Amino acid sequence: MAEVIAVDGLAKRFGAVEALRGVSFTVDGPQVVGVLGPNGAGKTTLLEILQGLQRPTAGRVRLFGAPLDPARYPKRRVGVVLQHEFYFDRITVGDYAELFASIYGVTGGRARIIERADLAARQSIAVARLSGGEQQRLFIAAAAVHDPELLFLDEPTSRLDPASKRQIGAFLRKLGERCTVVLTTHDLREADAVCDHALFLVAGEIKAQGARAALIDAVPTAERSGLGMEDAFFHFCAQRIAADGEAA
Amino acid sequence: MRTLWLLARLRFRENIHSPATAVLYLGMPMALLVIVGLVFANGHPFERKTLAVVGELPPATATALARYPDVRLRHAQDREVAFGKLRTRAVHGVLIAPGDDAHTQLWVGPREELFGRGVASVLDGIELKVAEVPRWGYVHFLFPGLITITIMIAGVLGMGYGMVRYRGNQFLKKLSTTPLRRATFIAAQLGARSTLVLGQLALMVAAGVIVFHLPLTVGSALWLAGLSLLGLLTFSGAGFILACAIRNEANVLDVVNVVMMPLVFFSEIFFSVEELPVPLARVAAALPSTQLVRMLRAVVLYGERSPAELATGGLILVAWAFATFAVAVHRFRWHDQERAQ
Repeated sequence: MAEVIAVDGLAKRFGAVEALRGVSFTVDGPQVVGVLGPNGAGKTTLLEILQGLQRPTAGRVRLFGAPLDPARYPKRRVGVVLQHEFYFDRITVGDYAELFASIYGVTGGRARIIERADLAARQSIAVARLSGGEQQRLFIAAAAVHDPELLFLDEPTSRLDPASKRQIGAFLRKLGERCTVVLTTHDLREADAVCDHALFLVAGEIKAQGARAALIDAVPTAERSGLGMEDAFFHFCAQRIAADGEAA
Repeated sequence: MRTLWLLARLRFRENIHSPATAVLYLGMPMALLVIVGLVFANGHPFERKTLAVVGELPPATATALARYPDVRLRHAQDREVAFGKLRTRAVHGVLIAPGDDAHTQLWVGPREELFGRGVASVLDGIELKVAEVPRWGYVHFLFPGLITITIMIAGVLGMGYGMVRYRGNQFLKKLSTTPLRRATFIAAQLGARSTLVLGQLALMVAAGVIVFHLPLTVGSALWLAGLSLLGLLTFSGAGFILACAIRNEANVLDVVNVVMMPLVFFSEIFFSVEELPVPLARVAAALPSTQLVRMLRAVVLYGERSPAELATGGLILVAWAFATFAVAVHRFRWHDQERAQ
């Protein structure tokens, strides 16, 4: 395992709003890393800074051992799947795959995307006619066509039904064998099934971070059977979430 | 009744809280009033009669005509251009200075014969002649203006709206995370829009030639296509600039209307900007839309196809294209950076 991401004292402010406060962590790869937190916790802002789309107000970020410079962002080593992916009206699965293979300059990329997304039988139909799960597989396969070392996904399963969530989870686990997958989610059960490592982000602050097993082991209870990420999250974050709820 | 009141109040609030819409609803009527007042300050442009002059008029003729300020003299570079303007009703008559022995000739169209007789009666040694003028002459005059409006819409609205939409649905943000070069993306947009515009032009030209007997040669059609693409480039740059300034897709049409309305009035689409007060005429002449209309009219209607004759207009258009794209590239952003997630 090698260091992929290192963040130190990261802060981001939008006017009077502090989206991130003193965020520090390190991620080694390959593995699947979940950034977990409620809506408005700062997950997307953190991801966008790591993607080079936002500049932090303070703090340092290193990717692959080098300081992050948005002007020289290592786009050929990174893939990104946004929370809401755009596709052209009437674009077919094959054309969508062709477009991203061409953008990343991957010979044979179209076939690779379609094979990984398991959409060989549906390549001539419109992306709009795919199910939510099929669309998401296509978007992920397209973002990973160049075999990136780091893949970011923002809420990849938030709009999917349980069966599709399970499919995408398996897809991400497979990807995580060879690249570092960083995903944001507020679905703690999904995170439990997919992530090797987690960061608990609440109100712009990291409340806990570590390997899945270590986080669960830290839950102080005598009854250990059935414990999961959800228990760990509420153990570390319940106090702050309750405070936010009262303030709201 | 309560629902009606609530819905009306919410819609009204929505309108007045959008700055662009507020400008459109409150500022635009006032701006239109000022523009119309300036344009028609001296009466309707068609009230005055314009004569194209070929060559140097005898001093007595020039002095006699100077007593009638509602008859304007405009110098034409040769007979072909002057008669081209007569055929398209851009001028009401053509005055041709005499050669060694001949009289000054005044050519008018059949509908202007009475005006021609009036002019001849106050000038000495005038030979009045009536020229054949095509039935669709003024439609021919309008044709380059309509092409210019089409190109303005394609560039400013088509490109501006497209970019705001792509930014709104995060397509630009997605592309910014890939190795795609900005120039490749912009060139692809221009390529797609150019193909669409060439299709529109082909349709308009076909209708112009078949229905309105537009006198178009293969050479002038090629010039028309080339100049139109140059115009599209310029207005696309303006569209990109608007896309940088507009954050909300719903405001695009309002802002584009505010930009395009004055351009349509001040761009010689319906009448010559020389009919405007002098300062306004100078501003109008510097607009890319005015230059595009003039060049299209020159190549399509007056047979001017030498690059030297079109150089000034072409340079002004190229300068606008450079300026708009320079600002657009400087201001272009793939996505909104200052919005908390």
